[in-house]
Amino acid sequence: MKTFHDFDFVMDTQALFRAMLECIANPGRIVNIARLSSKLPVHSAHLTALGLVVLDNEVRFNTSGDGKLQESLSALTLAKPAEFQHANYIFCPLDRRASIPEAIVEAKAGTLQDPHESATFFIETDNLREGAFTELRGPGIKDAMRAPLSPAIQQALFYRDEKACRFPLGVDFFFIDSGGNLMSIPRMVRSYAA
Amino acid sequence: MSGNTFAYLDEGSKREIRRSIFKAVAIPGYQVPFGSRELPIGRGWGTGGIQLTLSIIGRSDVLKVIDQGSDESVNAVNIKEFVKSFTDVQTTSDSEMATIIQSRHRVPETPLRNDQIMVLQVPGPEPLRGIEASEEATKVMHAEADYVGIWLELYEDLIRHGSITAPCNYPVEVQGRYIMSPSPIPKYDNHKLSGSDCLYLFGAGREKKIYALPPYCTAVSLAFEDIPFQTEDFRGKSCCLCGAESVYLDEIYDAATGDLRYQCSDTGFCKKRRETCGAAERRLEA
Repeated sequence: MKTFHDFDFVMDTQALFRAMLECIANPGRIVNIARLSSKLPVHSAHLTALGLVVLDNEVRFNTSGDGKLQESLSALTLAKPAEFQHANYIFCPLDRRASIPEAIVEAKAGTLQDPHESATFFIETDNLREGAFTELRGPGIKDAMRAPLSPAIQQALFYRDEKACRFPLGVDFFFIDSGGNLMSIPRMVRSYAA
Repeated sequence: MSGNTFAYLDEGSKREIRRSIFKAVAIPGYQVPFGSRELPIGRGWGTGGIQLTLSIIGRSDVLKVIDQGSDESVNAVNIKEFVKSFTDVQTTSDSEMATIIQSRHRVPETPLRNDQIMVLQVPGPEPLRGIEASEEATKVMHAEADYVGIWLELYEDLIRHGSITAPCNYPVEVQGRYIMSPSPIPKYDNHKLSGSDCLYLFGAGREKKIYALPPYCTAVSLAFEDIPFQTEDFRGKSCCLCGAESVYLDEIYDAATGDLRYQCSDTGFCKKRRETCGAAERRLEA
């Protein structure tokens, strides 16, 4: 039986952080976190694992209506649930995909003086290695890269662009699939039809 | 390390710093405020860089710490020992072996790779501080991309001295938006920031700011159309120990003889070069 004792809240969290840092510093790159997140005996283990890196009682989060995920993240991190417009971190499980447009429209995009006071999304998606090829450009990418983007990612980027935030305002994304593959697209990275 | 928290800081502190690092990477060149922690070392001695290193480091990392290019200076040795005592990580003076390089005042000569993280200690993160003393006002200036003052400062320098005299901490424009202090690295190192393979993290402990340059991000040194950016010129000079040319050199003056000689500022690079050259010479002799 798996217990929380299998997950090392110091070392495994550090390893998860580094995986996330590699992803956000190299947008479009896929890093697998399944070895770490599979230690957690909870519903939505991948999203919970990512939540453990960033959540505590100083920040607010939203789980797009997933009560079980909200309960486990609250219990493990003491972070407070909040509406989309007040949440620092927004989690969208695969079966809550319908809430993505509303979440992105309402999410905090920061202010010109404090652009860091913006939301970060953790979105569960279909296989990250499948989808329509798109060209990504921006900091962290050498010239340009072609990456397959699943419909959920394309939808998220569409609504982000519709939000029409001019840099430095914006929201940042982490996408994860059921195999624990993680990818990030921060606010400055744009997608173009390949 | 037994009985101590891994990497000295408590998990809550690391989490806050990690959150700030994510924002800093997502908004290149923007200074993210963070709750700088007390460390058993005075502010101004690299506490920003140390907090970054402690928050990112894991057991499999290999750490290199340099101060003014030297692996053996008091500050570098003590920071390295401090981190090692709380993490048990391997340390090195070889830039190629390191996964995390913490530095003050230099970027190593050896080009850094994508799997490496360069942590720079920053005493003064605000490039507008010489023009505007108020933090509130500089935040507004950054928000409005109002950098007229900094251009004027460079222009006045040019008019007074015939050239821009700032030897280090020379401002760069990041990805066409924020003007950023690259920390007190010499102008010679500025070009290493732009389009680099590695991730740069900047930590200012006293000023409580973290900022970053992701890989392949542009960081253009400010210059006028007719007055191009100029770095230190070491043409015709070479290291007296390893013979290296086209590297950043320290000038050493011998008061007794009046002689001037030059030596690699990056001691790890110089040492490795001497070892490699020595080994090659020994092979030739054999």
